[in-house]
Amino acid sequence: MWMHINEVLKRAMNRVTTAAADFLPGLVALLIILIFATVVAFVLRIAVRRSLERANFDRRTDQWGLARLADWSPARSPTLLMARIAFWLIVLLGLLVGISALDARLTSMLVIRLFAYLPNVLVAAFVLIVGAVLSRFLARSILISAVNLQIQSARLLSLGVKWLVIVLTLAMALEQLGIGGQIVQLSFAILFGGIVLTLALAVGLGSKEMVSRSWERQADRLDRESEEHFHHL
Amino acid sequence: MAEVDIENAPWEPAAIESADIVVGVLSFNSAETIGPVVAAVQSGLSSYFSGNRSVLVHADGGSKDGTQELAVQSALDKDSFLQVTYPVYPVHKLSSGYYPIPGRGNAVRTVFEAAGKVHAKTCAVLDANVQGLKPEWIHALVRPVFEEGFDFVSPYYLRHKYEGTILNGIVYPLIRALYGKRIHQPIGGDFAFSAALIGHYLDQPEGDTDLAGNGIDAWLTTHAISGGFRLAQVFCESRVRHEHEPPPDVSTILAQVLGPVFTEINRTAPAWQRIRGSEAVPTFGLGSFPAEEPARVDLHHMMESFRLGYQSLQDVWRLVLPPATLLELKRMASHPDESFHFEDAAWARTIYDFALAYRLRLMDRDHLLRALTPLYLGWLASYLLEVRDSTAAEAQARIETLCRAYEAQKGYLISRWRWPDRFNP
Repeated sequence: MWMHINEVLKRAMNRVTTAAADFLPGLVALLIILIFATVVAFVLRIAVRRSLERANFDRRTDQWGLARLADWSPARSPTLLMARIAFWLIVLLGLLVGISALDARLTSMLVIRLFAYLPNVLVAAFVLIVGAVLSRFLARSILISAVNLQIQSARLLSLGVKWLVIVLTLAMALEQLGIGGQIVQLSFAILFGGIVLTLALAVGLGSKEMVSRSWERQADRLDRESEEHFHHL
Repeated sequence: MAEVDIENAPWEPAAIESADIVVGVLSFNSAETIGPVVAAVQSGLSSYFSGNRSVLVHADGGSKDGTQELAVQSALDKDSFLQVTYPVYPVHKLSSGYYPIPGRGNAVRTVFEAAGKVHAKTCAVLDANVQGLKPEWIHALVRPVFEEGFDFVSPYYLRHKYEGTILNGIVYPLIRALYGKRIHQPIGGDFAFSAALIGHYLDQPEGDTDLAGNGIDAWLTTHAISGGFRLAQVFCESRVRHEHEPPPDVSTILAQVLGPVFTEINRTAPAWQRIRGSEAVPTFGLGSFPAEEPARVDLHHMMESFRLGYQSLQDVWRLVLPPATLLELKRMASHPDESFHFEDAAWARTIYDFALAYRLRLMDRDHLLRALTPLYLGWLASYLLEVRDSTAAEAQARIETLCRAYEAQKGYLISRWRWPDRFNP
């Protein structure tokens, strides 16, 4: 009987050893690939950081109306954020390649689904960037025009326009990513409609005296300028 | 009379082979004033330059109100009258605003090409939308170039102290401090040019859309100054412009006037950074300020505009102005109307900061120039408060003081221009 037990134990050890022997090369390959990818990622991070610093990327993002990017960035530097994104992208790619060394079937499915989703992510990112820039541009345009028209609630108007554009942009991005589905659409419709209705009521009812005073001041300005004896040029 | 469309066909001056003097009259829907202007120009040429061959070139941008026909009818000497058209693109019409001649740059270039074709020694350019143009003005404008050998002549309008405030508060001091020449009307006037200067202009590459459109005056003036040409100015009565429509608001005027000026400052930066101080330009004619008329202006409204701007545009101004200037503006905003005052040095630095922001594109350029409006109204209120009891001559002396402040602050502009990130007081 002891011989039988010994036999079974030997066979089990053989199976474990064989399985380990089959698994270990893949694991070693995964580790080597990860280390290599990390080294490449470090180099790329340095290269991206230096080239963005040379191009004054931090100042340019502010000029393009992407100041919020600085709030989300480490040390308030979009340059560092981009460098880190590049770093982790390479590491992630390395991980995918390494996993394929373990089980090609698993990674191929993962990679296919990932790459199928990537265009949606890129489009959503593009929509968000365009929306951020547009909201800032329109908000500033409204603000300056309203101030020059002597409208006291210039900042409120500017803020309202900015958030309208941001809400619209977010809804478009979420729809592109396929997140939330109808819930997002309904929420957006309610929110957007609510903002518009609020502004309409504010102008129509709550601020009618303020608006009418602004228009009166505007009309007075035109009358005044026709009577005033000076020309700017 | 030879009628030629320069835009669509090469121009062959079959009827006019050469001329000593060319006077270009620019028009666009100027039916109400073109007749008297054409008559006055030809009367001036025949009265004062009768021994010389002169041509009136009427450059029209495709008027739809009969301007071209009226011009032909009003011409006293059809053999010395040439009518040409210049291209006006939709963008010129959309952005004309303050300027009554859309596509003014194309109009001026058309006249220059005509002057070049006939080998004219002198070329003057006038707008057709002025009222009360006298023949003597043609003589005054043309003579310094034709007889005295100057290359560039601009008018020197002696105006009411409340007129030309953008010119007196910004454009004239800026051009004077940067380029070292005291040209009182660097833009928005009638000019005369020599053949050499016209050749210099035509040799330059085609200007960008801004300059080909309505910002041509700044380009002409800065090229004449930086090209080392002989400059002069001539006293004359203030022009009365005929308005087709209500004038645009002050922010539109600021944007349209200062845009080309700042563009030229950016383009000629290597030249003006070497210039120190300023010198007077020879001035012809006798001038006297107009009789003082009581004028009504609402200073409180201007000050309130400034205060509203300070309250609401902090985030915008912070991108352009350094902390020291913002502090000065804060102090001003808290002052009551009676003691409201915009220091000359602070105003000069403000304009310089906006010129720098224009160059660096810290924001959309139209937004930037319109954001200057409350600051301009604040300066204007301060200036009008100071000169309300002054004569026109005293007000002009006050402007000269302002100009010296611009010159004194030029070092500040140069430092910020060269090191915009490091020098930020």
